[in-house]
Amino acid sequence: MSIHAAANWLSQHEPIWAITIRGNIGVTGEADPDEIFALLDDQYAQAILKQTRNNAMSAKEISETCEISISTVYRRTERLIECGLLAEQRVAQSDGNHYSLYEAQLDELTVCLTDDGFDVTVSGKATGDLADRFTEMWEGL
Amino acid sequence: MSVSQVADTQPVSDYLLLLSVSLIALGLALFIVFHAYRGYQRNNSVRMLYLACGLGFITVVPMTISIGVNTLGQMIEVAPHVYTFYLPLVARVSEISGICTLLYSLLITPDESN
Repeated sequence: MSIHAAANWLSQHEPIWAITIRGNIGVTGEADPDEIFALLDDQYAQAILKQTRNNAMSAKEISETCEISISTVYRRTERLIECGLLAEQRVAQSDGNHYSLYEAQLDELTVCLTDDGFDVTVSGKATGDLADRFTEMWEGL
Repeated sequence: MSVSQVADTQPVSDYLLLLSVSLIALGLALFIVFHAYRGYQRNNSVRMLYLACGLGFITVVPMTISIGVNTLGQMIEVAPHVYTFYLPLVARVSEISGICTLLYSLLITPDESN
């Protein structure tokens, strides 16, 4: 807890965080199965998901650790977010600009063969900060 | 410490046990209140602000007052009436205001919080 708490205290000194987490826990059926298969087959998308599994990273950090060009990172993250495999957090900076942090949303993928073809279900994990999930829970009441 | 003193005031060992348990409870309460407050800061959610205040009034404030009065009682003579009447009264009033704040947090519509 202590490291987490220390990180929390540090974040207190930054400007107010404006967070947008796209896609909630257990998003299903919205994404195109073919697109998900294509992404999971893609080595860059795989690398991004692996790197961001337990920690939110900026596009620059992903680009450096995975040795992928920054434009590829942006293209892949956009597609991953659309499929609900990746979550984006927008972090406001004091100069008014903002940058994005990416964190893998994917926990488990279920593929069912039905009469209509493949039915893909993405089981997301609870991403984001404890405070954000707390807010989500309380506002959902 | 004479026998009469032990009979009159709380024994030190009891006080220390009570203090440590209270501090654990206070720490946990502060952790939750802190995260509710951070939820307000990060998401600009007024409801979370009221939640943090309400939880604070219900848990943190009575605990702090109780610890404070008990500590004071160890140092100076405090009338027994304080323990049996004023302390519970203040704690209950704080809890009532906390519960009202929580209710208010639940009742305001999410649209107002944006």
